[in-house]
Amino acid sequence: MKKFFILSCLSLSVATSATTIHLIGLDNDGQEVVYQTDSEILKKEFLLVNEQKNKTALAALEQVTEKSQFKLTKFSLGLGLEGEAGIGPWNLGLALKHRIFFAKGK
Amino acid sequence: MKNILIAFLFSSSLFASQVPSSWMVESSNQKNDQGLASFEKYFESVMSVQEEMLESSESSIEKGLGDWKISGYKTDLAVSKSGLFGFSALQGTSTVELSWAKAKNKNLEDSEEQVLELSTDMSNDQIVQTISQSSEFLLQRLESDKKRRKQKELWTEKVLTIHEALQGIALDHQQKFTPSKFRVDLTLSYSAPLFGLTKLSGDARLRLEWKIVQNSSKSKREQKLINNLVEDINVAMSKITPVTNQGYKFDQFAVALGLNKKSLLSFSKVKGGVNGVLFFKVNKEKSEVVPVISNDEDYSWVEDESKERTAVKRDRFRQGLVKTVGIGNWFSEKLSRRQALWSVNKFKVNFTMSYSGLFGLSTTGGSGEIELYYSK
Repeated sequence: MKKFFILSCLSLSVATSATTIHLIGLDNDGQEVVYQTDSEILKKEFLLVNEQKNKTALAALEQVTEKSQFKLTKFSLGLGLEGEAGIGPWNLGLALKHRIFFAKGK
Repeated sequence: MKNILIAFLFSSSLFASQVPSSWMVESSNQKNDQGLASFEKYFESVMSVQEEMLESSESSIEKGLGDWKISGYKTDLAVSKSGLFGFSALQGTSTVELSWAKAKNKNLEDSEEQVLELSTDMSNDQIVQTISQSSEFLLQRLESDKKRRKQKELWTEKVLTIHEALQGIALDHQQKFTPSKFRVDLTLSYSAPLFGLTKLSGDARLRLEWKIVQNSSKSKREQKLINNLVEDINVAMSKITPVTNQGYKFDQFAVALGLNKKSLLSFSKVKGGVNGVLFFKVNKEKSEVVPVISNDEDYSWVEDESKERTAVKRDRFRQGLVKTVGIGNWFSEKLSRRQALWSVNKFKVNFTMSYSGLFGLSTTGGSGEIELYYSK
């Protein structure tokens, strides 16, 4: 029974444990900072940001460029690490980042 | 309680998030080197996280975006100074990035960035004219004629110095790896009044790429460093073959270079000068040629005036190159075995060369001197 319990614990931990993921960056002084999150949080954040933001951002960008000679050809949405200086250690978190590609219309 | 502790230890030992110490230039910072087999499990888990993110994104987001379709996904992975492996999160770049494009442009890639194409057989006048025309839209962001004129002069001087140095590269088409292009980015930080008290500020970039062609002029100063590099790369690559039979082919080899005070191309570690990247293309039909080392001179440089001259033996340099390809092969092999809906289309591995000539994976904030490019 005891052996079974140990094995169950091992299996459960392997099956359900989220992997620790490191995000590695630099602060304003060029010093390395490492932010630790877990894979489940990273996945949730990524999906949440994409679902909430991409439709509205795309619609707005298309509207802005409708009459312009530059047409929107590509749109990227990503998550980056953002640091905030304060008292004590840096506060770090995931932040939304955009990249937008335009091409001149014919 | 004991059982839970055992479970925790077992679980954590499965995922060693540090790259093997032998992959680092300096392994002294690394406390828990658990070896390659253990790191492999962690790498697989990092890849799984991304594959799951993509599969979820595609199924839940793409609906309702009309003719906009997911066109690509890019990740920047990094190694910390202590050897930790993870996502890169440098300022101004995204850790993970998902792109959409109109259905007809779905195959657009990041390389669509506008590049100003030059060639080493162009005359100085042609170069000056091309730079002048192409940089105008960037210079308009500066707020005064004086600043625009000064910036233009600075860029023209730099570009001509690079142009003349590149003309001294001797091309040997019998070699398997030959220099093919040199890439330099001209950058500009600007801040100009928009209206009222509002200011428009940002960074702009113009990417230049020289095609390296054989020059008819023999008077150009020979680029000994480049010619030695060509020999070393060809000899090193003859000793180890990049993996090509598992889905990825080895595309290009690149070395970061700068200009030293004598206007000669040097390793980018030398202080000052413009950093650019020299690409070596694979000449497939020349695979039978046996490379020959013409001299056994060391590579040497002075980091700055306060430091002593550094010398790196060329055979040690070649050993380092073989090591980089071995590591590149490892990533190639692991990525080609993955069986997910989304697969990696292309990847690049960056390496740092230490002042003593050792090679290792580039760490955060460090500049990569050697780049290996793979694609499907």
